[in-house]
Amino acid sequence: MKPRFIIFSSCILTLLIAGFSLSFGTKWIHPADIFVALFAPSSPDAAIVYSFRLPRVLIALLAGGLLATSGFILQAALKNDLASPDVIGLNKASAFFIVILSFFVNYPSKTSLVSAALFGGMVGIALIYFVSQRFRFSSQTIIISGIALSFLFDALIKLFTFAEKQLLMKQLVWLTGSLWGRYWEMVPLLFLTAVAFTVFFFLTTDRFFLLQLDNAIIPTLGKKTKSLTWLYLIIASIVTSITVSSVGAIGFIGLLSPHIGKRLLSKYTPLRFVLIFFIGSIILLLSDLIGRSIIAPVEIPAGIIVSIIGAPYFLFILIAKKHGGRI
Amino acid sequence: MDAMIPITFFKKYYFTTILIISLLLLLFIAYLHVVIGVHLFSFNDIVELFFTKDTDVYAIITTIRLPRTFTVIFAGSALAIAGFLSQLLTKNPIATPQVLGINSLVVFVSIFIQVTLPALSLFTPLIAIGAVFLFACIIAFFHYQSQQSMTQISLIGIAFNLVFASVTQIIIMATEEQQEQLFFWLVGGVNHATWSTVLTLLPYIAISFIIILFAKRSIEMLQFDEEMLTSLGVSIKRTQIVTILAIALLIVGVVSLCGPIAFVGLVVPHVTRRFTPHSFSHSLLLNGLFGAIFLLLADVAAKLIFFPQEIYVGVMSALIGSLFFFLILLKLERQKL
Repeated sequence: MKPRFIIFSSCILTLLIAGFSLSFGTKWIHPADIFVALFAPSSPDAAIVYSFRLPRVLIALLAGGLLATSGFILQAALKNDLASPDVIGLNKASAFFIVILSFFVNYPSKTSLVSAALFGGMVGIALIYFVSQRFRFSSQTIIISGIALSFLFDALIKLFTFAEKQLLMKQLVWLTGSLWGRYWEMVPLLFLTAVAFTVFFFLTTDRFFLLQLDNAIIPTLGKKTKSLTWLYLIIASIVTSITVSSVGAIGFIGLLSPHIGKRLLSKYTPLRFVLIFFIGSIILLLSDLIGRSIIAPVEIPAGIIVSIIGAPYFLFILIAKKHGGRI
Repeated sequence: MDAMIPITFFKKYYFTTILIISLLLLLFIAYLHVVIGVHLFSFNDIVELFFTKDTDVYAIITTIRLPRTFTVIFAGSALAIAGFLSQLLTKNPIATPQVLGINSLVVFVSIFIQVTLPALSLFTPLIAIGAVFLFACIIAFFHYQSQQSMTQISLIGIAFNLVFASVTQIIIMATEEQQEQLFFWLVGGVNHATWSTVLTLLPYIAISFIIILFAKRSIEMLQFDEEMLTSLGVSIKRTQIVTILAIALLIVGVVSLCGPIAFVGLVVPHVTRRFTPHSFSHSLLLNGLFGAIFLLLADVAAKLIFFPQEIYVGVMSALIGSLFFFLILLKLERQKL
């Protein structure tokens, strides 16, 4: 199949699932009525669609895509198919600083949430940098220390959520990653991030291609990739932090979507980025849909559903050794 | 010459010295654990207990503090020994029950039976042991099929952990939104321990101890290379199965009563190895003692950190343990270079 065809069909699929998510809910709204509501604000269902469902669907679409593409960048930078923001502990680091913030401040503003998450992501990257400097710069060291870091941040998160019992349930749900109660306020930021990230990626595709090459080849081309690697790591951590600050620490999307994307588009083209973005969106949209319908009216956080779908696939990858025997 | 005497004395009674020191340490920390709490008791209060039995202090100590202390001691040593045995079994320094996802499997099984089939709740321990056994066989299968590296084992464990924990969360959310319960089953604690907790925990530990004692000689063999044993004509299949059974008993006992308390089984054997490099029974004993000391310390910290509010010991042990885990991994990485 041609790359364009694959990307086109993934885009159509994303839109279809997004449309279905708009219709589905406590009240079933016919797709035709959704269409009407989107263009005629005075129609009967417009209020539900505009203020509840549309922002939620948009957030799922953008957040899923961003998590997926930051995982893609990270895997290329670390040259390891098992790396992703959640495996190396960036998600938990961001989430931990958000928990710290809400521990000390009662109603943190959106800006402070985002900056806490960014700070957390930077701390995570700095710790990993520190560890990898002390040892030989190997991606396996980074992954191992990342796993340990995410255990550590997980324990710290539990410590602080436990201290604040009123917040307990809310935080816990939020930390596994949920789209419940997410309205328009988060959409512009995510949208801007997505645009900026995509533009950045397509402006630097030639450098990114360099990262894909084998470590042995790069010096023969007279290039050095170490600073480039860290640049991409930092960019990935920024994107992850911003996403975590709006939807919580959803795992696995950053790991799985690049995998699926690479299977569908086995020959490298920069267009993979777009495909992986859509795959991430589809996973998050579907997980959110399943989470809110499986035992309605109780809502299961999308992050939990993502884990249940994602972990078996991850196991399959690990056991089948489809990652070229690395690690 | 004279200066040599203490050294030779120390060498001869090396293990006895360590044993006595750690026993004294255990007693001291257990004392601290009893005394520290929402009400801090003084030494005089404790002494008075032996003479007057109808005071509030007596009631608090015997019905709340002591059962908790005993639960922590038993749980700590059981978890440490289970971790030690599974490290021995897999010859992998980080493949402990918790890392492999067995703790969360037990939680999932107990919750699942409690919610969907309450009629079977009497058999929960048996079913849980069966599930652990099956799971261990699956892991062993993958382990033998393709020699997995440490990173892979821990990644596989993370994935299994996530699956079980997620399903557990869904079940709890679907039944009732009790945040206390959810948190208990996610981190594990001993805050509600009573004498009946201790009495339920004891049989598991006793049975697995009997198993370990009877199979001691063959379990000891596990530390050797499998090919070497085969060439000597020793079959270790049965020993492996017996060891898995002992581990399953210990884990099911502790986790079904105290929740999935993390990292004890990973950290303690690493510390113990520094003191007893060779003898199996010595390391078993020390692992038990150090496990109890570790968990007691963690629980004392859990009582104190947000005083007067008490948190679950699982949070503290995860916090201390993950730091340790980090250091252990770095050490192992350094050895590889």
